[in-house]
Amino acid sequence: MVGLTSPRVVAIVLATLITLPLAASLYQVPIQVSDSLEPIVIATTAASVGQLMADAPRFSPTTLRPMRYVQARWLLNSVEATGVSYRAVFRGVHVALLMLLIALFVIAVRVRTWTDLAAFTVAFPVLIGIHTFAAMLFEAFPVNHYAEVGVCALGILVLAQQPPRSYVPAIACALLAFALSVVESGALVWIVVIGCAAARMRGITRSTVIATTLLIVGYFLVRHSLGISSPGIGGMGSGFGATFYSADALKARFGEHPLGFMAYNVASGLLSLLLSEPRTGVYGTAIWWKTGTLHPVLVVNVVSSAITTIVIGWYAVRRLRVGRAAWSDADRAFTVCCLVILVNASLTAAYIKDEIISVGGLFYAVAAFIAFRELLASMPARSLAASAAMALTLVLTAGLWTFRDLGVHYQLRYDAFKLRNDWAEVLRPDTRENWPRDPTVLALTRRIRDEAIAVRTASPSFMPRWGDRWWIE
Amino acid sequence: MGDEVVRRAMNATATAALRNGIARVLPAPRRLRSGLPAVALAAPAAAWIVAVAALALLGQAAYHPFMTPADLSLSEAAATRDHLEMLRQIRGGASLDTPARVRSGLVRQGEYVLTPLEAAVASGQVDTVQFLQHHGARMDATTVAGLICLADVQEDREMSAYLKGQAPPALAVDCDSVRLPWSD
Repeated sequence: MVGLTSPRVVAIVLATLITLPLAASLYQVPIQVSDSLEPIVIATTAASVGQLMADAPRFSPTTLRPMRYVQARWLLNSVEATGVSYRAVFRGVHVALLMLLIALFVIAVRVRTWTDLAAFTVAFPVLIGIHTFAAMLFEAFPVNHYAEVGVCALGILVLAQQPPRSYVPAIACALLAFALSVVESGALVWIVVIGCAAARMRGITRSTVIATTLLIVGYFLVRHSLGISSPGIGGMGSGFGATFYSADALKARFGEHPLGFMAYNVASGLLSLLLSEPRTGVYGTAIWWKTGTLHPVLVVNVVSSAITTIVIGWYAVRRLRVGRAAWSDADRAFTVCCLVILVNASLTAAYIKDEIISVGGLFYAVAAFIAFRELLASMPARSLAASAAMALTLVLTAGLWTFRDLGVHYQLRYDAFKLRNDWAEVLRPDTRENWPRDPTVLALTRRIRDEAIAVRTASPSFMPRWGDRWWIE
Repeated sequence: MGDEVVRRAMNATATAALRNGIARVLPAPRRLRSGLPAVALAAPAAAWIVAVAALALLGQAAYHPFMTPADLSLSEAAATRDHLEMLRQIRGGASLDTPARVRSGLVRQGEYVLTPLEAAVASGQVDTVQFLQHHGARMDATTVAGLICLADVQEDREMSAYLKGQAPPALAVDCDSVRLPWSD
């Protein structure tokens, strides 16, 4: 029986208090024109779900994401069936994904003692405030697939912490198959399975490893047989040094000798997770060096991340040098987190986006919780001065991360305004020749646009002007 | 009695120092005896979270720290390039040519009464001017001269050139005879 004042209940209440306003901010964001309208139109004009599945390999030469369109179709059907708005359904799913991510994080960190709770109060702001988490909220395609992969990956970690069950292989395969069918980063779910097995977490058995490995091998064989390649340099724009280059500029500059740029990207992806710098491959510090202008947001982000990473590094040195047999459950989970962070960084070889490393950001927060808890638990054995210094550092860190959390609300409002205004360019009265010819598509587009017009968003002109300097890079 | 206790304690310390070496004689750091102080020291972090959550919840309830005012005028929407809000108000029957209040700080310091087109020109947004035109804002010989003069006062060459392109060919603009919301 868990009392109402138990650390676990307090952690859940805290998480709920933080998450509900975040969900409200997320729900204000209208369906976006870019990345969302096109798949929605494709999903609505297809004759059937089967046709969408069959056509999926033809949508792009470098991606195989059939569930992107199928789930859009299902959501459109649910709009028709229930009569609610498109925004309610699509943003409702996004909010549900946010809730799932938070719930899985709370389950994964297993708050049991007051020391756990103290660590939770520092690690939870890390989860929400890291720039990669925000990336799971800003974009939708029309559902955010990286958030879906994050749910699947954290789900595996939670399963691995439980005693072995007969149904785990089936669930793990289902999660992996779903994740792979929405975005290529879904392969990280398999990495989590392998990491949990290698760290000897009890919930992942050999049968789970074999089943998921066969599945991912099958996935790559299918991709190969369909002639789907991986995106190379020039597929998307990305940063280098202090400059963001377009896809064409990248191809011209690095296309002949891509290895150095790929190594730069992987290293930058890892640094972005550990230090919140660079962003999309562009180093704010390099811009500072060139222009002499230092934005406060860079200081807040780098300092908060650097302190957290130092504590994570301290934990790794302190606990992981003993043999694997002597590892605690926390050590095993920590090892998996480190593996996911490293592998996720390697996925940025062709180009860097915050979304690509978003799953690594989730596991960074779990690793931060484990490290902060160890630090707090070690305090009674330290001198009063050392304990006080550590506590002050933790409070500063938690404060900085919480400030970043507040910035997510600011950025979501900013994003909502921008995305809502994008609809001004759709169905413009002076460009009727560009309107969709298909009456079904026209009616659908008009309805989603009408919804965007009807729901008011906050204008950046009425938000605090200093917010840009402190929250937006 | 008290002196005796102190004397015995000093003797014991001296004996221990001889037994363990001189390093142990140095005063030992004060140590925390339980995990509770650590939790208490971390409590400000929790307070931070609760404060932020409360602020955000307040925002959802009544006080809107990050929200556009409910009584936003069409001219204010034009001044802030809020095209969809303009569209919402136009659909709701708002007049495209009626002057309305523009709060201080949106186009410049001080509150002004401007038409949506004037607000768009004052904030230097050609695309908003075009947006208003496409939705029926009146831009003819009687209005465009004032807009051109306002753009000239603002030293906005791009806006001025655009507006001159929209003006009737024979229009002669005499800014001395046009009343502007401001002249500096």
